[in-house]
Amino acid sequence: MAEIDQRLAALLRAGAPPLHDPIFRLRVLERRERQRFQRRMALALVAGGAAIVVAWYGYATRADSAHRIGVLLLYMIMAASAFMHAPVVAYFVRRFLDAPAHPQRS
Amino acid sequence: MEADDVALLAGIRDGSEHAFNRFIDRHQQSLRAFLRGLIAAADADDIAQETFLAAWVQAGRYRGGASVRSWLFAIAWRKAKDSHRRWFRQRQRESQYRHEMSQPADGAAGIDERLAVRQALHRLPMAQRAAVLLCLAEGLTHTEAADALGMPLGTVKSHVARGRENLRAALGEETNHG
Repeated sequence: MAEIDQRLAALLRAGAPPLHDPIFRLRVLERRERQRFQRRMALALVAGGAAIVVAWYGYATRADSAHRIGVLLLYMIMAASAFMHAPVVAYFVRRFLDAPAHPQRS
Repeated sequence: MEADDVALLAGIRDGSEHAFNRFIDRHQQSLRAFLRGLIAAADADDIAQETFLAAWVQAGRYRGGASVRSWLFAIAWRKAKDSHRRWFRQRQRESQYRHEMSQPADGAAGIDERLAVRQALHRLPMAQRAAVLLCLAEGLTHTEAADALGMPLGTVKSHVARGRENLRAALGEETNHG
């Protein structure tokens, strides 16, 4: 490589990030965990929504007393679950309501 | 080095946290430096993070045709192009660019020289800039750069040659003035 090319390479590399940057690695890992969490929450919400629809459909079509108790139990479990995860649910609701038109990445 | 990269990628495919950590440590500097040459530093680190996340998810799709570095740079290049297209970030990029241009250089390189080369680099078309950064700054071969950028080998060679001439001219002018 010619001397001028070596100089160019050095100038282009000047100001490069450090060779070891644990903070950057932690940011990647944190972001991956956040994505996993969001995926799990989305899955839980979809599953919960499907359960509500199926239970309501069953309730509306053949509402014997055993079925009513079953549906009631299911709703109670889901309400308890939502209460236990209230901060997470609130976080998602807040994010949904405050979502900007062009979301900013962290 | 390439064998290590392939082994790390196999580890990532198997869900190894250790392999993923080592993979990030190994490639973050060159990847971020490449992206910082293409887009503003704040966006560059963001895209670099996304690139590593994509590598985590897509490790199983690596087929061994190109080097692991080319494969990783290819992901970053696609994401950088997407990012570059987003019009609403243009103003932020420009202000970041102006801020970077006003920062003093570190190391042995003179401020004027570095500024001249950086400014000449940012005047190049994006594809030409990417080819120059990969081949001159990151030391990829023309073939590896062609794999990473998804361009024919001849195109990469001419991009590098033209880009190099422009940068040399900028450096020469700066040296003459100084």
